[in-house]
Amino acid sequence: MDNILLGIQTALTPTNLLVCLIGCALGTAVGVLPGIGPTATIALLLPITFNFDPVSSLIMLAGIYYGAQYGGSTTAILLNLPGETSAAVTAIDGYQMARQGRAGQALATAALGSFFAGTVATVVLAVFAPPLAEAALKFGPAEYFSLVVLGLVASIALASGSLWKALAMIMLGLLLGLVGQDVESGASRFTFGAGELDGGLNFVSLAVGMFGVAEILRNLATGIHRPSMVREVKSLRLSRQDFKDMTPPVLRGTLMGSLLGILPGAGHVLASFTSYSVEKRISKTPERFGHGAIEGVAAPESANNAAAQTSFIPLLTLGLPANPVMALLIGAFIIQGITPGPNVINDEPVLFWGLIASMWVGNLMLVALNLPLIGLWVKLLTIPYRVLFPAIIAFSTIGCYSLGLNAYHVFAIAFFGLLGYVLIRFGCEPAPLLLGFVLGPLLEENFRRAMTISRGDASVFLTRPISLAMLIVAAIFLVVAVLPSIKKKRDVVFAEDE
Amino acid sequence: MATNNGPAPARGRDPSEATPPGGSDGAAHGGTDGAADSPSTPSRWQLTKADFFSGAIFVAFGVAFAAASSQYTVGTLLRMGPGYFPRLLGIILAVMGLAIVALAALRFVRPRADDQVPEDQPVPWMRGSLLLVAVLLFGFIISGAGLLPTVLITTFIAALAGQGTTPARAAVIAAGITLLCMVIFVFLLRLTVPLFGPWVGG
Amino acid sequence: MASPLSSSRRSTYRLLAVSAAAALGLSACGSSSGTTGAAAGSNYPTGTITMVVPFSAGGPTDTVARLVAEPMSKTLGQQIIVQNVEGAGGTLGAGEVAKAKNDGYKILMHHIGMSTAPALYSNLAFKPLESFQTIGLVTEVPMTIISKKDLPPTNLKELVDYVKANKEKVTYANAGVGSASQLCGLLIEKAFGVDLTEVPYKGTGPAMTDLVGGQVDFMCDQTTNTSAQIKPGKVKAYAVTTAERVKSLPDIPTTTESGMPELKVGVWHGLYAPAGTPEAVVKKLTDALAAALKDPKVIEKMADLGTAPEAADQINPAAHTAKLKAQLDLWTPVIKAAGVKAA
Repeated sequence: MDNILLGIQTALTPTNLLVCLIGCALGTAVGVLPGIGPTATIALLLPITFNFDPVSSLIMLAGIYYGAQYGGSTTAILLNLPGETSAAVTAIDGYQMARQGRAGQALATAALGSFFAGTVATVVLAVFAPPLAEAALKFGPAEYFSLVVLGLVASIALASGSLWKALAMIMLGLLLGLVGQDVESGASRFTFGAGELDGGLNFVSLAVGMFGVAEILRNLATGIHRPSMVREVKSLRLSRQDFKDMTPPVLRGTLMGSLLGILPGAGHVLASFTSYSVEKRISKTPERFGHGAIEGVAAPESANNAAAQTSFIPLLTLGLPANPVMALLIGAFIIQGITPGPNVINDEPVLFWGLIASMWVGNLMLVALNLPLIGLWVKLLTIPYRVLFPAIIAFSTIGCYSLGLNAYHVFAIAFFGLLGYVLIRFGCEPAPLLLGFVLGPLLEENFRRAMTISRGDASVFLTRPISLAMLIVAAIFLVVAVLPSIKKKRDVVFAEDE
Repeated sequence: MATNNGPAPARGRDPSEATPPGGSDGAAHGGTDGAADSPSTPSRWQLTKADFFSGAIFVAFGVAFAAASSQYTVGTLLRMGPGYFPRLLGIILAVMGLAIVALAALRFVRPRADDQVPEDQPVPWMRGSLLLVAVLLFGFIISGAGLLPTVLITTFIAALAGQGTTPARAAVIAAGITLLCMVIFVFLLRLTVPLFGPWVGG
Repeated sequence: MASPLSSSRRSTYRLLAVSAAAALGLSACGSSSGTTGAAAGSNYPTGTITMVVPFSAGGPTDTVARLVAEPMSKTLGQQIIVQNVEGAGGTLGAGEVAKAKNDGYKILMHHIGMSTAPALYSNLAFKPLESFQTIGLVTEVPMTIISKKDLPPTNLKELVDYVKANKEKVTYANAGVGSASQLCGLLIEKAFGVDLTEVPYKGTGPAMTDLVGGQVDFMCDQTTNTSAQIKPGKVKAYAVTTAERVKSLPDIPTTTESGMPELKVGVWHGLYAPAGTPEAVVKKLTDALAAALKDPKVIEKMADLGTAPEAADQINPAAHTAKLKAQLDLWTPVIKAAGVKAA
């Protein structure tokens, strides 16, 4: 209790309130732009924070991180332009809501869902951090492999069309994820000798191409000035029914995000995809998903924000980074003269509890910052499309190029824009491909690692209990996914035979 | 080559009703009543075209990846080489593509009652190409020309793809967007890309 | 187009037109500020300097770069932006600086990987000795041999016996091709006289996570990465790979004390500019680096990480070039003999 008071005291000093606000605002801004993600921004701003004391500087950097998670959904919803993995899921139903004139509701759902999730995850962080971190360490390569398999199977639900096409898109995504230097042997795979591709294809290029550019290409075809855009923006407010619809998904999304966020590497990525799949699976009306279901925005957004918060747990309690942003924060700790590790809670209580309290304050600020902005964002849709789409192209190309100043990331936008356009035209939805792309390297690396550690004994996946449990769940998912279509086909066959 | 449809004689489809093109298979939920029952309306080719083509694309990618993997060590299950995983996945993808084609062939022979014709829009050959050329050009000239000229030129080309956008208007649009980008990326975010590259004396 | 939109469109265009005029004005300002005075080097620097780190942000090399970039920019009076150009074991970022303009506005912080790259990569886009102008050595980070905390051995000798006895079981984690931990692994194989089963990771962070979690058995990595886990006892430390004990980790014996003097390796870091950078510019950079490495704050923070700035007589191009040459001669045969190859 003393600790929490100490934290609140720290977070509420005027300086810390101010840096938290700056961090959140900056984070939202970079989250909105595709390409410039939180990693690049934090790397860029690190020198500025040297002038602050450690607590303030980390509060600001953390603010950028979760602010970016927040802002990322905005362009995904409005322009079908996801800047990061989690936003790609939000784009599926969020953009459809925007097309139906419900952009305001989609943005409000995202904001409120994120706030709720952030609040809960902050409590989780404060209360359960150390035991949860220890539990996460139980995850070895075998467990990660099974977790990724589970995530992939669950992601079939991302597509509303043919099962086979969704599976093929996942496979194609997995393969695209393997482009670049092989971690184990160092061989450059599928790079056509271009060293620039050794680092692999970039997720932002892929997402911007398959979602954003492909959508522009489709809109150019319709020959209408404002194709598929909102003709009238109905009320921005959420109705009572909306609240009723979004509450359970937000609760489930928060729970799943909080748990998955703790797992270094794969957890944060899987949070939004898995929660979306679960919602669709348990929904009584799964056919609405992909066509503007509010649950399809509420669940992944809350899962994502919860995971963003709990991914601090391994960093703060063990000094181990869960993702590249956390790795950067470790650098920030070191430069501030704090050794990140299991000692932080005891040695730096002001920092630990202050940071946690500031996260809640930051989430509050984000809601206060974003709810009034919704009206403004929606106005963005009234910009003539002929002005809007060149701007989208400009932001996307600059954003992708700025990631490592690599022209191949820009070429990739064009390639995947074209591929996305063609595939969507042939009835293949892009979301499963994106998930496959993100999980491809994780799948391969962890499989190979597990096999090396077990000396080629594939039974590790079945003898380790956590791994086995996840594979069983994955098998159940797969059977449930395949059954209806088999049943349906059988019905059709029988109907025709009779 | 339908390049310009003129100022859109309100043939506007209702966006909320538009099914994603080709969502032909499982998406059709119980819409078996009414018009779809008359089998003669959509041609069989129209029904299965998307499946044939997408299946072919997957086969092509699968085969390409599997073939390209052969130049890397495959290894054993214990010590998998860099070629092991991609070859396996490539083969699976090709098989899946074949399955999609096979299912389409089956349907070609025997259409299902609930089949829907995918929405078929004209392909924006000319304007789509302009858009993609703009993106590619950005990649080709950015390191030589620097940020400002590159954004100005590529945004101009992209803007030309707009419905009824004249070169003059495209120039205005390009200039405005360029300014906006400079303010956001250079002055606010302090991007490290030089404004002018070596080609223009930077 | 409906009429309410057309009025808004007109105003949009007016706004754009005004913006365009302003853009041209701004760009004129932008172009004049950057590079004009650099050729002479006399009034260098007049603009922002980019320090390329060829590894991911937050990694050990990135930390070293950021530690010195801050005080250096104070001395030079211009901001130094640290930019991470990762990929291909650090060769991508190095290649980028090699082909950059040699005006001192793009410099490179690289480590021991500069001397191992030619042996590891057959089609390198640069030649370490010819493509770069050395500026000075920065620091030599010691390495530590560590294991998961419940591995039975208690000292290096026991570890050697244990690894030999359990060849079929023991796993060694490394941070990927060209990483310091992989190089140390090569030396360990030689010194222990045993072939290791290596488990590669993408960077030191995930490797450390699995070591702390007990998924892999042991590894050898820089103190910048390992100190935080050694101090609270989350991993077991056997030896440091330096001639003398590390001040911040006084209880850990050296490899020499443990009877394995041949197991000596330090991850040396150096600062580079593209070849042909004017002498005056190089001198300014060298002086700024030397001043930064005298900064008590830098010394203190490096000490926390188990390392220290290079001695004053090493912070110059001549000493740096000599070191690079010696290291190239040392590592090329080791790597060739081990048959390790990337790309």
